[in-house]
Amino acid sequence: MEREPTVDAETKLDHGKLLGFRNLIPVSQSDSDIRESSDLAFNKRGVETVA
Amino acid sequence: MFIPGSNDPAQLDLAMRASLAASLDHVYSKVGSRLGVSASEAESTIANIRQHRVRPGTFGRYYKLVLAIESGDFPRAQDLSRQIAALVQFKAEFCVALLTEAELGDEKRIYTELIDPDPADAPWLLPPPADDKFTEKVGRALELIQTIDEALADELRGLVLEIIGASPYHGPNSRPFGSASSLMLWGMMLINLERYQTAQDLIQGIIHEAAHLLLFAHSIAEPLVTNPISERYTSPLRSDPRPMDGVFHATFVSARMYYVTHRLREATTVDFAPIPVDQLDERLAMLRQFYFGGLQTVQKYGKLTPIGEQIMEETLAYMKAA
Repeated sequence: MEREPTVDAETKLDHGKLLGFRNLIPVSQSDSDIRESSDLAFNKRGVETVA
Repeated sequence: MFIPGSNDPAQLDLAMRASLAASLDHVYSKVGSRLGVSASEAESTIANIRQHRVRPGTFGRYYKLVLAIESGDFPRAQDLSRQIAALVQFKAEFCVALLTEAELGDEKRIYTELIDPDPADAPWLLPPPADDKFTEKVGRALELIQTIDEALADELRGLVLEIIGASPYHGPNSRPFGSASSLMLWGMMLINLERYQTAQDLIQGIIHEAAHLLLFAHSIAEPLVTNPISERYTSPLRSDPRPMDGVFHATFVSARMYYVTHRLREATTVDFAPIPVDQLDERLAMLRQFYFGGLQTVQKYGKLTPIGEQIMEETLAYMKAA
């Protein structure tokens, strides 16, 4: 049986079409984990052991 | 892509903006009406992004916009969408500034929030005290890079729009840093003013973060590695274990820092010696060790994508020959 389309389904963003998000490897699908993955994958903090 | 000159600097920025424009096009097509964005407004914003360089905060607001939409916070999403439309009306120009409201306005908050999303009781970055020499020192560092390697300087002009000076936090639970960049803030690099006090020091910080930006530009379509982000490995440039993506970045960065140090060494003469030769030789030995240490981890545990493989092969070819 086909499910009734919902507003959420119609407006759900496709991560495959979104810069950055297509490369995410989320820990899970929750919003907070997307944030965690975003921080880990996108932010590069340098030179902590190089003098 | 490892050797400067093998990348078209303008193309790198153009590709990143094209991807941002396509992403926003998708966002507007899905939820434009809920954002209060008309078709003509969407078209105008996308056209501006395609036509000229845009400030790093444009990318930052886009990431916040997607997260706001996905959490159902449409008032916030509408506000971010309006901010993006306003920001992209102006062509962004290269600038050097301090991480203060006085110099950056609202961008100071955006940069801080995205680079340090969870400061808890110990902020990672602080606005620095007034430093009227920072712009001059960055300018001198860029001149030195231009002198030793025109292709590298040209590449920097394509990658870097804003060089922002910040101070570290020294209180309890402080987290040390030298510099930072983010895919979410394309074109921006943050530099720890206390760590990099001279033009010669700044060369290292600028090349370090530009190497990250270069990797961001080459991983628009696919990631560099597919290792789960939850896995941690020893990194050559960090004391804390990092995801494989971070180890890949650090290994590449070590090689790029080796490259610029080697170019400085080659350019040194009796009349031109911005950094003493013994210091350069010591740094070259250290960076070589960092590179091959990182490479070992990447080769042993890394699940590299085709672009990741290509980049690592080119980097290794340079390091073996150098």
